[in-house]
Amino acid sequence: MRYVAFDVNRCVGCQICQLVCSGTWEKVFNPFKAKLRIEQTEWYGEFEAHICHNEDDPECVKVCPTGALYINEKTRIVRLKKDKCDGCGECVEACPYDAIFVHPEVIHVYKCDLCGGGKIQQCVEACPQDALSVKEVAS
Amino acid sequence: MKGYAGKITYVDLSSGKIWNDAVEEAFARKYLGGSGFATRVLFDRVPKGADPLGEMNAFILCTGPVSGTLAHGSGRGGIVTKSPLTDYFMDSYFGGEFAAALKQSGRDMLVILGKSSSPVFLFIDNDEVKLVPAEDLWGLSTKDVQDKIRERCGRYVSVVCCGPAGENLAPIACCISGRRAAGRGGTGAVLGSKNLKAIAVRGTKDVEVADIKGMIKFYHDKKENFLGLKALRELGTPFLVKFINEKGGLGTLNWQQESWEKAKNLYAEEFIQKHMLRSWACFACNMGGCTRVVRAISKSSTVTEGPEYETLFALGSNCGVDDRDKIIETDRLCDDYGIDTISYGGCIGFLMECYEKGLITKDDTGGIDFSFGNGDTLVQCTHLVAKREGIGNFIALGVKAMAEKIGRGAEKFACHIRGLEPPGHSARALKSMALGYAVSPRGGSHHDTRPGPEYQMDPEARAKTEGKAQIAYNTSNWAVIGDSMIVCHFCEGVYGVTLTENHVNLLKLVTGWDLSLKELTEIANRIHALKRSFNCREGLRRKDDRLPYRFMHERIPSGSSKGLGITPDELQRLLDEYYQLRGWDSEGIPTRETLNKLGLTDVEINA
Repeated sequence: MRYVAFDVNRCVGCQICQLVCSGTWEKVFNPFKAKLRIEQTEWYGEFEAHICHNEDDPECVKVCPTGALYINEKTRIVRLKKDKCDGCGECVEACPYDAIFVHPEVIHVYKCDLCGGGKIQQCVEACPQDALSVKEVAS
Repeated sequence: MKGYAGKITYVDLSSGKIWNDAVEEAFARKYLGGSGFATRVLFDRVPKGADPLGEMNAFILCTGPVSGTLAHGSGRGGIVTKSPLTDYFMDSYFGGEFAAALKQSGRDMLVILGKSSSPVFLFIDNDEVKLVPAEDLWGLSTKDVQDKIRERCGRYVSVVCCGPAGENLAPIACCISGRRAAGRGGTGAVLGSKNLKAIAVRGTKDVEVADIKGMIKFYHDKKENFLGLKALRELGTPFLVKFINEKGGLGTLNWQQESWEKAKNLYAEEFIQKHMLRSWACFACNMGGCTRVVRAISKSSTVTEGPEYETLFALGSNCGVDDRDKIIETDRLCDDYGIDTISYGGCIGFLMECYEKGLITKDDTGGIDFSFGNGDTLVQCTHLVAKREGIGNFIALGVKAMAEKIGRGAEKFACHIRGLEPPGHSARALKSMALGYAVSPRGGSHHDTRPGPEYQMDPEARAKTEGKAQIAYNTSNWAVIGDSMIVCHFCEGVYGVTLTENHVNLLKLVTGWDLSLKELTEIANRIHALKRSFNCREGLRRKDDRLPYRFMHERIPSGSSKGLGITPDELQRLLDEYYQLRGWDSEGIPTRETLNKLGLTDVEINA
């Protein structure tokens, strides 16, 4: 399992990760079109991150009725075929990390795929607090 | 048009009419955004002599071309209105994420006109705009009303609201968004006067810029500039308590002195070590959270965001209070009630000196002890101001009105500039700030002229008037462009404390425009001329560009700026120089020639 890990003690909630993510992959600034989400649920509370963990046998892939979500055999990362996704939301419900998002004006969902699984993850590079890092867990 | 949503929404609360105007490129190039856009609309919409708390005033929420983007410090939004505290132009800016939400809803600006006959809140859900009855929200604290609105409208809603102080039309009432304040000049009372409890926005649209790759690169290139601001990053604005105390410019005991032995109890390190829970950042700010959430140690266990430097000066040294818990409690109450901490601290400090000098007694205060240093008084009076009860009804009016009512020499130590209580940057220790306060469109604000350059000088250099008008001119040009782009003024560490190629480059990435530094300076001049024209139309003249009596007739008595001050003659010389730089006549009125040159041919001051 390879995923972007989050350090709750370092995050200050600036949303730069979401801006860089949408800026890089959607060519617009829109935190609601980012593939990860940082939220503060309580008034003076801590921040929590919603980021895909790329589990080996993920629920989202199992419940996806169109085959839009799949595991890339080489990188073992859960990827999305945008044109196959009809936005039914089954995966959103099934995700234990609340890490799959819908946008009201877009059909397909958004989820982290580690910037395609390459060496550089835009959010990790940009985070001014070093609150994000790539973590590899042996399965 | 990249960088802009391209739309201004108008809401007339009197008629219930809601309409949109397109933002034309010519208008955008002329006024840039934020403060520039809003000043033009205020000038056109609010006639001479309009009652700030009446139907004719406008309440304008603005964003700039940079809002909602990755640019450093782009999380700020602005409120522009006519002030019930000064009766002149006012703009007040606030952090958080509201500006990004408004931009993402597809609007550059929201203009509220008229007055609702019953309490309402405005809900903007992308394209949809509606007024919602708010009888059940009236009277709620700024925190509670935001919680309730989120329960009703969804969690991804950003809110600007007033508290009970605004509802009760206290001229020192502020607006709150999230936990950040648009503090100055009574914007909360303007909202209250319109029977408008809050504006809630949900925006999920894209913010498009001319060169997105370039912007991400710009972010990475400039990231280190912010990371280099070590003090601000690690300690937040409270690092200034020590810095300014050591400079000898920390307003203490209603500015009777400007350095304070007990200030060490208010140093940032004390809060970090004993009270801090966590840091918090505004939208798109990579400072690392210059705001800290802190908790009182005492039984109250009050949690608040802040207190920022200005609050520590106003409630702390200015009132002689070094009890951190009392300041934390008061800060939170001010936020909940929607009271500006700078004006509130200015008012309490002033009354404390009146009490010390015997001009008021317990008979006047309802039995409350107004001795300097009394932290309980600080806490207690927030309730009274919000409810406009007892002495609180008096405090709510601000220092200028209180001094006029008390009389008997009280005006000689009434510290305000055109009704606005000054922040914690000394007019006597920093000559450019002295001039800056005198000519500020807002009055006692540190966000027109900026104090940075003079803090770098030794007392001898600070004592001189030479070059200070130029500093005031240069820094206020950056400040007004910063307020129009809109970026946080703490970005001075990234972009510069005067206009630089950084501002030009950032605007090019966002809008695609090839503006030169000269053209950007002309826009700054234009917006300043328009703000000044608004005030001159209201009757402002050279005689009103003055400083508190104390600042001009008493020298700083102790500390490292001992002996510094500003004489009336020095101020007059600085005014002459500044007016000349701006192209204003000897009365401080922008000349016809200046207005025409800036493309403001339709601006009439004597209309």
